[in-house]
Amino acid sequence: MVTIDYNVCNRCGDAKEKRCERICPGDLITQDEGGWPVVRPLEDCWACTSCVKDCPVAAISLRLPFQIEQDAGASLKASARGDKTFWTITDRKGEKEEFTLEAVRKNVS
Amino acid sequence: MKVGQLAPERYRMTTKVVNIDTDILIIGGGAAGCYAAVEAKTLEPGVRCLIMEKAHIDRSGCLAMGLNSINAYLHPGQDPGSYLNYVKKEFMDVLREDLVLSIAEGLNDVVRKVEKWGLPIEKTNDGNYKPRGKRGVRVHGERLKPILAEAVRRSKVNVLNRVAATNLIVSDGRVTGAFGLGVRDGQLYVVKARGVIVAAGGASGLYRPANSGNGRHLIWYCPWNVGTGYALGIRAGAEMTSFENRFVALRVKDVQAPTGTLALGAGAKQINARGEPYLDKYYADHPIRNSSTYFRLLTTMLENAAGRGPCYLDLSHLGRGTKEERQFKEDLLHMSPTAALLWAGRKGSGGRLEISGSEPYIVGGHGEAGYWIDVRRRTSLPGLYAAGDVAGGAPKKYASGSWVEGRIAARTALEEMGSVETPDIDADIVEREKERVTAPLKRDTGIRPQDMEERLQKLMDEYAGGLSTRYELNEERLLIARDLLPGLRSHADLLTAGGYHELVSALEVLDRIDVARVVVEHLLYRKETRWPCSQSRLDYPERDDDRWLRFVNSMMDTKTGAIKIIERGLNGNDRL
Ligand SMILES: Cc1cc2nc3c(=O)[nH]c(=O)nc-3n(C[C@H](O)[C@H](O)[C@H](O)COP(=O)(O)OP(=O)(O)OC[C@H]3O[C@@H](n4cnc5c(N)ncnc54)[C@H](O)[C@@H]3O)c2cc1C
Ligand code: SF4
Ligand code: SF4
Repeated sequence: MVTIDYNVCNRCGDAKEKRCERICPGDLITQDEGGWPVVRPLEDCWACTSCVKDCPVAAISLRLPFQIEQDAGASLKASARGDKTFWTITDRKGEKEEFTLEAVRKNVS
Repeated sequence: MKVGQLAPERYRMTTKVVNIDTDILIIGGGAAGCYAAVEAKTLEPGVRCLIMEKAHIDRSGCLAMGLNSINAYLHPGQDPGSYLNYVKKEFMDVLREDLVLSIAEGLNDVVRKVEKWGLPIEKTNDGNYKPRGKRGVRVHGERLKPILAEAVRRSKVNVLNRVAATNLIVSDGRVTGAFGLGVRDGQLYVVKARGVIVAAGGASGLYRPANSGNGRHLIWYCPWNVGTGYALGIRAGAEMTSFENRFVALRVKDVQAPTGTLALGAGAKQINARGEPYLDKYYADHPIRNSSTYFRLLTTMLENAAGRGPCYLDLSHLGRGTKEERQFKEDLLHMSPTAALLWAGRKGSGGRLEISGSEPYIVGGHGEAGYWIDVRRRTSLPGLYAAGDVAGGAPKKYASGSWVEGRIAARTALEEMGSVETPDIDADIVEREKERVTAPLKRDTGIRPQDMEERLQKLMDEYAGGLSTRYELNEERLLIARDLLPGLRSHADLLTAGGYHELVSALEVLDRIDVARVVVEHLLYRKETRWPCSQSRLDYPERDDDRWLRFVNSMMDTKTGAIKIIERGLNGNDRL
């Protein structure tokens, strides 16, 4: 389940189509009247992290729904930049672990 | 209005029709569709090739999250024959050898191609791909889908993103194009083509899912592959095969993540609630011990039934903070981010993750339900080719097998379109489809797509072997499902939608019902138990090779909607 932090989201500047809106495989993200991204309906999220990774300001995070994780659970952020993807997992105790993972080979032909 | 709240959707009821003419139309730009498109443009750069994709090809379908393993590959010492033998054993001999062989022959080529396009693949010291399990290849595949999409763009394929196919166009028995609904703009796209490749994936959402509410889409299979790929063909009268071979997956409970990352990647053992590894115990004499996919799931069900559940994959040997544990998490991030969350929460803290069976899906890339095709990927409808999860008869093709099928389908479509001239499309047919797809928007009240979806999932769950009946089937229940489904389908004329997004759901639930009807007919027909959990008949509990070493196929009568069953021999030709 994704959460958009509206204090961080910058609405992708003035872009008509927002990055998160462009990418969601379920076409779940749309805009409210002020141009802020909204996930409709949240229950339909597959938790695929496509929007999480594509947001240029890392405003979107992923956690498990309360139904599955009743305690303070872990959350996850990610950013796909260039040939790497940067991940941060915050575990249930609040400790962060970071990963920088190769995602695209150099020398593509 | 507060930030993040939506005003009721204000859609314009456009009736605009957009006409497009192309040589090759590919429905669905996932694994098979992207590969097919690049192949077509590579062989004939001048060909007009168009992908119609309901999402955005950068992140659509099964591969949206990424992969950490290419599951089908021939490592040194293996060959197409050994691959075929493996799949035959796994699927109890009912499969199309010609199709599986043609896939096996192409696997290594396509994987090397996708590596060139940018997929990072781990190598051993001698330069070979690093295996994951016997037939898998370890990859860093988080970005696999964008990599395929980039190859499509480099090849100058035309792409219609956010357009969902709604029906095929058939003229004089030949498929000559398809209709698509613009999911954002509500326009009707009428695409005329000299060859159509359907690659729209399998079907999820036919059965009640394991989670409800906010978790309802934490399912294994892509929630937006809803079976439209099959429904297009079913409604046009294409022959389908093996819909009784549902795919039930052994998965990480709650998040439904694939277990290969744990078992093959991290060496986890299946244990029961008492901590006992249980596979070996059954392996001694269980009749399906050589079909590991079914065996691993069935034995888990048996342990649960015997009161020794829940079952787990035991990862305690990884410890915490070790190199191996970090590697495990990296693998999860490439493919199953929700499992990484589970692992970092309380449920993972004991060093093991609970496993369970998923709800059933229809997926020709893991199981073998799908279009009945020949070795050149021609369906029974001239002008229509099938590849990937929509194509039947060749289980265990996975991502790389889907690429091979895309490649074969593209080649055949190019060869066959040579002399084809597409006729103009009858204005009446266009008008009728426009009416059909926009009708739910015109109704202010009626049945909401979500309600119809839940009704379908409930009845399939209860009467056609879902989670609540431990996948078990018997004739009486199936007959109730058979009885209920046409009535549910007939409520199509009550469906209402408040905007384009909901309109797409309305059309999709009808596709799902069309697929479900075929599933039920097939389940009723095969009177034996061949594939435990996928197809467990309580009333015919034994496997019966004398009678059932054959395919159950079907065809819908395009006028009456009746489904006719056809039996076919294993060699793929004989009608029995
Ligand atoms: C979670 C998960 C994990 C997997 N893990 C592995 C793995 O580790 N290794 C492996 O080898 N394989 C794996 N697979 C299998 C592999 O992803 C599939 O076999 C493969 O993607 C099938 O290719 P496809 O083109 O048939 O379907 P997809 O790749 O799903 O493509 C179908 C496309 O059709 C589009 N579409 C659907 N309906 C319409 C419509 N009406 N109109 C237009 N477009 C439409 C979809 O949006 C999608 O883009 C996994 C699958 C899943 C779901
Ligand atoms: S995580 Fe995936 S499914 Fe969920 S909103 Fe983001 S892009 Fe859509
Ligand atoms: S991509 Fe990020 S910044 Fe852009 S609209 Fe979405 S949440 Fe806001």
